[in-house]
Amino acid sequence: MIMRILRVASREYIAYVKTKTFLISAIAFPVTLMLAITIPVTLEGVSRTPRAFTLIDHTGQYEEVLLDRLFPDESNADRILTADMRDYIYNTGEQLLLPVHLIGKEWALEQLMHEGRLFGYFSIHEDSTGRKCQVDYYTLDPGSDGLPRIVRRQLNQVIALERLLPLVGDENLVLESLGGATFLTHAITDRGREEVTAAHIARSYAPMAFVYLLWISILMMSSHLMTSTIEEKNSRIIEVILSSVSSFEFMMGKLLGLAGAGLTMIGVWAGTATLALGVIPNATFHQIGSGIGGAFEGLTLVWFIIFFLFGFVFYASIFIGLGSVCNTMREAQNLTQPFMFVLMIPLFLMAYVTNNPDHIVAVLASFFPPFTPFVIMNRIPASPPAPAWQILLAASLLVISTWLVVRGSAKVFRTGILMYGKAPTLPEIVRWIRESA
Amino acid sequence: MVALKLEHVRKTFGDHVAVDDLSLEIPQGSLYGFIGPNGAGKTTTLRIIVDIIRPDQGSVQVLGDSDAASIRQRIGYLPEERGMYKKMRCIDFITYIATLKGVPRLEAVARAGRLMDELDLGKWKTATVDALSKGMQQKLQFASTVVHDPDLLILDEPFSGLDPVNLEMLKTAMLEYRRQGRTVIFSTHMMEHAERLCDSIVMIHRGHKVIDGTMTQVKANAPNRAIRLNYAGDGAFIEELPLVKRVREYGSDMEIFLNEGADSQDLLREFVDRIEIKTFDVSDPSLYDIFLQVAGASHLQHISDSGDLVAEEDR
Repeated sequence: MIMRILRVASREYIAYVKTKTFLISAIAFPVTLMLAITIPVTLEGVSRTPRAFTLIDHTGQYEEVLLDRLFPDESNADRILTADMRDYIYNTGEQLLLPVHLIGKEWALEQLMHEGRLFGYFSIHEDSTGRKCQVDYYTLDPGSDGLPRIVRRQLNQVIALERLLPLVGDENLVLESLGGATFLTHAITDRGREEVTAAHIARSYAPMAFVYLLWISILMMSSHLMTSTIEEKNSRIIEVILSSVSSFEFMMGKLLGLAGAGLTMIGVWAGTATLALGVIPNATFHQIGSGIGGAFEGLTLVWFIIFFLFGFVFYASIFIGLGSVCNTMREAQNLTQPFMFVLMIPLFLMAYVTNNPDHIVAVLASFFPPFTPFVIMNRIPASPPAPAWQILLAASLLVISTWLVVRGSAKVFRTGILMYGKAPTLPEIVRWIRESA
Repeated sequence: MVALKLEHVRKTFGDHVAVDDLSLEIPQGSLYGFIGPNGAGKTTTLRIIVDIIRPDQGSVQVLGDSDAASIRQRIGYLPEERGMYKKMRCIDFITYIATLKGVPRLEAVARAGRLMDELDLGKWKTATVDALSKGMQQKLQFASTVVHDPDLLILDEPFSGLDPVNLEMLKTAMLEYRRQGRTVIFSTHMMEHAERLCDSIVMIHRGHKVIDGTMTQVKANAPNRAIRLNYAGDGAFIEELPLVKRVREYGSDMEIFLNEGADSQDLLREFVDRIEIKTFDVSDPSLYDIFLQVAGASHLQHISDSGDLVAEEDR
């Protein structure tokens, strides 16, 4: 029996791994992801056309001092600022050929922006109370805040100096008091105190990666599983198969083959990620790599594989049972829709569980088998980590319910796979399982 | 030795009784035909034998074993509707089926290659299944049915859709398997195939067994053997003859059914001076005739007064 299951599994594995969907997902997805990460990094330092900006000081007090602070370096003759990996070049009113009259100036600036020759400008004036300075920033891209952030910080210092210097008399004293407290976060780990790096952040987000991996694998598998089952049914190959192996052996073979393919996919992804994060000479990447690696080491990795496999088989056996009663993909999609909704819930829960891993909702959700693999894997590497008894209980519940689902699906599969004509409804399927129990 | 034994097998699908109280014993080494119209229950019976479906009642014993799983490896089954993995390479497909039947992998590859050569498919070993013509696919399917050297071959409508060359090839193969002492069971709704090939037949009609036995027995026991007459002249008097029970007329052809105990020689004497006889055929009735009569006898409601089979809805 085991041999026959393995033979079916190996055929299913090869058939799935050879599909275009699998190849695209296994290769194209990580490649795209890598490019998305590496391109901005590699392009860093490559010269880009700087965005032009200017400022108009209606108060006449700040422009000169502000420019001195923005461009303290004499060698920066072009007056270029870098913010969020972009260069911004300061153009004077003369350079932009602005009219001297104020109203004409603002109109001309807008024209320049419409023509794309100017990215943005700051207009500094007094606010309506006449006691505070107000800056209006006009820009083509209100979403990028790198430039205004730098200008704001410098201008605040300029204003503070202007107002406080006469009272305090010492520029450094003013700047020191403006600085406030220095704030640093430290992580306490097994290795002692550590400065917080990308590694720590990656580590706390790593469980989310698990949930997405499992989720994407299940989604991809489900559509392949149903297509292939319906094809086997419609091409009548199923009769040849069932005269050679039992329907249970066939179903288990399919499940194992697909689970193997799912693990392969994750292996490929993990491999490329390791490669990308390890090989690319970038300190942050190395930190992220070690952070993710740290999240899934030792026992956690074992749990990862167990929960992945059983979670996968749990859903796969539901989909294989449903697929077996359908003759068209449309029927199958209708029938599986409720399960797709169930599958969405752990995604919505994820952010909550990550932030509140010991909350009663998270604990209870760990024990609800359809959610178990998603929720518990978010909780195992979390802090506080899930207690051992909860992990064991969740694992046992998942294993038992997977077994029950496999048994039920086998019953549906046996009848459904030879049934042609209209697909039964979910209540009818439940009745079959009950009747044959 | 009995290759197959069914006892009181019954299978229903919803309200429809597909097979009803079917008992059957097929000796080893025979070429056995399941005949009957479409929807008679032949396919269901064959599926029960290969354990694709389980009967609601009754017992099935195949090759002396009632545990279906243990004898799957000794059965070769060709389903009515042929199916293969279209994207699989031909040789891989046969190898795969062979390994499912318990043939070790290397041995399976060797056998698959040999079989494909024998069937003139040698050139297509590494082609995918969908690259083959329909006729070649049928040969390939047959190869996958016999690749594990089964003791019992079960073929469901094996002749449907075959061209004359493949048809002859298949018949030869079936006879060869029988000669080797294996049991071959096949179903067909085309009685002439069964008539020429089988040692024995079982006729199934509406889920019931209506005839079962060797071809000779079946023909000898056929009720109402008809005499076929082709003649010229006025044959109106024939129906009035005391030894004639009834006739069925087809223009210059006539089928004559005699009364019990009447002798065909007496009938011939009546004709000599009155009509010009072209053919007077008292040979065995065809399976087709027997089927019409038997099915008619057990389901009188389907037979009109003249004895013609009323077209019934195939199930």
